[in-house]
Amino acid sequence: MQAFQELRLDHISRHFANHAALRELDLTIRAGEFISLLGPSGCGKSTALNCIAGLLSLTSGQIRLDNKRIDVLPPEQRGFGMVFQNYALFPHMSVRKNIAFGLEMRGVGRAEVAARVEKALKLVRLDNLGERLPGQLSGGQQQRVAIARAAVIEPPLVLMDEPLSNLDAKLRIEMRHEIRRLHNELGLTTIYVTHDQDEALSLSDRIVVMRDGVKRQEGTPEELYARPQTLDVALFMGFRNVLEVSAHPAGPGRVRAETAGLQMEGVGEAPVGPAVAAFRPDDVVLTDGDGLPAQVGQVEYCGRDWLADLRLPDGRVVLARSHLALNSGEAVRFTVPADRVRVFSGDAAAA
Amino acid sequence: MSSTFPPAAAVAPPRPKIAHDARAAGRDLRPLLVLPGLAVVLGLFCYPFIYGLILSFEPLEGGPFANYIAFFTNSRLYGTIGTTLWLSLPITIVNVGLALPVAYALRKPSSSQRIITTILVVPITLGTVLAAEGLLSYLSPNGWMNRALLDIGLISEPIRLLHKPAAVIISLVITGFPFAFLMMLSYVTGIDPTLARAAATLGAPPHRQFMRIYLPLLAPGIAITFALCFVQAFAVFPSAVMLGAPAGPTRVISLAAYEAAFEQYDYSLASAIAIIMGIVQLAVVGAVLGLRNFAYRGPAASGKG
Ligand SMILES: Nc1ncnc2c1ncn2[C@@H]1O[C@H](COP(=O)(O)OP(=O)(O)O)[C@@H](O)[C@H]1O
Ligand SMILES: [Mg+2]
Repeated sequence: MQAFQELRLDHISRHFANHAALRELDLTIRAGEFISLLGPSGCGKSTALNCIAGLLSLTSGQIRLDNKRIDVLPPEQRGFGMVFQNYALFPHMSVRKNIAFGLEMRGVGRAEVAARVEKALKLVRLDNLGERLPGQLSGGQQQRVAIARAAVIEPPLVLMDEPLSNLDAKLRIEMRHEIRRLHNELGLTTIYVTHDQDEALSLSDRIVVMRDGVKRQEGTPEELYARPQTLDVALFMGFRNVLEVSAHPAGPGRVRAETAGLQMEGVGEAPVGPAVAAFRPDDVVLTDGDGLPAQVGQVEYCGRDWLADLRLPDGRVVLARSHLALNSGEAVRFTVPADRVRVFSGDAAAA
Repeated sequence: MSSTFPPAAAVAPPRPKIAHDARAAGRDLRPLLVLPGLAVVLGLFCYPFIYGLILSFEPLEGGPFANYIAFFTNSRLYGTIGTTLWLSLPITIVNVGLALPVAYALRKPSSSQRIITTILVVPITLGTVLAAEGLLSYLSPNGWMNRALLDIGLISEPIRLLHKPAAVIISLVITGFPFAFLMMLSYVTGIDPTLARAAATLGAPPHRQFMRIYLPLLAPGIAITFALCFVQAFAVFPSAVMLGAPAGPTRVISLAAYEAAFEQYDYSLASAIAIIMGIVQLAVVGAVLGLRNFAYRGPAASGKG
């Protein structure tokens, strides 16, 4: 493994014609980290990854590997391993040749190439498929070849662009494990692009949430899950309920939120005035006595639990996850623990 | 033509039902739809071909093989094979050899790709006669080219290109290159550009991306383009007569067939020459396509994306 301390993205931007696909991204990746770029489709994740790999040039900014400026180098001289969304395996080469390609380009001796390819094949559990052509493999197997091909050159950095998006749900979860296992076993540094928050949460040491080409928040999975700093990050992290409220500060970091005569408490810095309260369906607690009154609307059975629409007296709808069966039309009361409610100033339309 | 339709289809009760019943009974009538096309192929290609083949074995005098014996014993006749190959093979190599790098350089969609493609369609629509006609006046001793070069002072005497193989070669490049280019462009753009990007991230500089990724994936396309360009060049006739030296260095095989048919009125010998011409073409095309079998021939995309 080429040793390095950190990769620094220094305010990198990339424009296409007049359109800014990536704006002033500032990020430091330390050796050994697993970082995810998370955001909806079109937010500039692939653009960022391609800029790091050298497949796109920067409009402005710099990229440094330790003290060496690398944004001026072509991709073949950066030597980062990349796993593409469609795998981009060479269709005319066997699995073994695909994996050997990067080593051959580096002029590694034939015997060593063979040994390292063999080791890589074992690592991704494809030892017996080395002579197949990529077209003769399943999606999951192609995925493993793509990862082996990128990792076998022992790059300082592995870049993965939505590598699981072409797999079915079950295989996705399996490969997710596999990717993190390889990252740990090989001591890789990985930048992982995804639009799937579950993937990002389960894989990453650190997550960068992006939107419209801009970094919105950066933090550990726990931080992002529990404390999104803006409404759009909250929405992306699964805070599916958003109520317009009027906020009254209630102690440090606490806000009392009032909506249509109903009271709830939440976490936030919102000043007095209009605000929005956001919380997850999972955090809604059905109670017997107190709490906000509501009527059960549509109910969806999800296997382990039920997902129900709760209609507030003023007609607004709150999604709730319940471990007990609910009947449509039933009257219920619910609360949301104050530390699970995020209150943001401004109104929902601004997000 | 309508008489070649099967009677069952001519009766035409509700169609889906008949197809369904027929399939249920183990007789699928849909293959019969090829009959009209087959009739055209038989009538316009196979019949004349077989007619010519038989005619070639019925010489004006001598045994059935007299024409073939005459061809291969007369150097003015068998020599045309070498002459034609000597013109058409280099031209094909030049055309395909030029088309490949140009198409590769223009593989990314751009305005220059569109403009060059449009410009190159023109010579194809002109046809060989018009192109030869134009070159005749362009290359002549007091044509544009020579006058321009004389006026600039680059040359002191007109360059004489006409009525030499050079003029034929130039004209065949002008009409053949655009065709080769358009074919190669469609093959090149059919290759997923992510493959070269993947190769780049694995350390392959541009020339190795071409040699290791594009070239192997293009090999079958190059073979097909080569075969089609060769067949066109091998059948060269107008430019060989108008621009070349049809008495000697550009006495091509089609010219020998023309002379036999329309100067000696020996249709039988002309047919024999045409058959020989076809066999030589088939041999070259067969060899090229045989080489293609060594190349990878699956889809040039990747993955299941
Ligand atoms: N080659 C390109 N030319 C023009 N616009 C592009 C190009 N590539 C990406 N974009 C635009 O840049 C934005 C970000 O794209 P991308 O980075 O691919 O998003 P993501 O990977 O997050 O889905 C999108 O709006 C997209 O339309
Ligand atoms: Mg993308």
